[in-house]
Amino acid sequence: MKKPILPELDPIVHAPARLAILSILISAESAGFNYLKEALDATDGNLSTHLSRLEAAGLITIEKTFEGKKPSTRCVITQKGRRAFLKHLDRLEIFVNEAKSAGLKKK
Amino acid sequence: MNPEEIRQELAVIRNMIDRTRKQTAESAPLFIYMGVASVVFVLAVSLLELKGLFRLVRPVMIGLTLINAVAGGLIVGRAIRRSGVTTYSGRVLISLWVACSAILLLITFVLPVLGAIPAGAIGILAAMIFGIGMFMTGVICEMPRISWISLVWPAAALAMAAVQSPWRIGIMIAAIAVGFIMPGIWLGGQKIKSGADCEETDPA
Repeated sequence: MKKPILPELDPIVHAPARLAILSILISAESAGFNYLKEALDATDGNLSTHLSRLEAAGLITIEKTFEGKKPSTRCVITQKGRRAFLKHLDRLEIFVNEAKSAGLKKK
Repeated sequence: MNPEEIRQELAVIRNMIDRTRKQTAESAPLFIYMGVASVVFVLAVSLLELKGLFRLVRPVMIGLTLINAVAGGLIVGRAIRRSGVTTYSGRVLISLWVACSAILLLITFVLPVLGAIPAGAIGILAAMIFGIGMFMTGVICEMPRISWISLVWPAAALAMAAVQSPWRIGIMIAAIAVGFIMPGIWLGGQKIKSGADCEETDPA
């Protein structure tokens, strides 16, 4: 029997931490560094690395400002990021459908 | 990719979107402030009327409105800046209350001067606007109890229409406490402990 061709997953989006960041940003206008850090339960360095990778891929933009003397970092998803996230969902759907039909065939 | 991995990915997406959607905490200080400011406004104007200082009523109303507008803007701005996340529902909520405030300004300062409504109807109409605003706030924040508590406003409007001046003040203050300050406390209580209250430690 011919094995179905499953789509490749984008490694930038597929990583759990980066997927979580994009999930937050797609449902918000912007999110701060500390909010993301707590939501992901990540360390500063770890989160910075993931944000830098997403920014380098053009999926998010990072705005750094100062509120008084405090640094403030806010992240916003780009159109490219939105498309990449939705494409990832489409691919997940294909995997789910494939898993379902494989389960039915077993029965 | 196995089904377990898919399940985990979908769970991550659902949890994160859900968490962000529930972030309405940034609007809580606004409601508490609006409640307190409204009580001060009603008390000040009523006190002047009771003392017979009618010529001071309008300047005091205008002065308090300006102070409230500036202070309210500062509070909202600070809450938004301190909030860890800016949501679309938060923006809709602020826009709703800006629109309600604009209508309230017309009702308080323009329509009575033009003779379109009697001065005694200001509180009644204001209560109805507050009712609409709070009902929609409950819908936007997905907190049905806020929508239910908003019924206190039309009830207060009817009660104020049925009684005379000194009682109206008491009804208005009670409605503000129940219909404004209480939902503000609820919204604040819903706040998910976020980075909003933490020192920024971003090393990047």
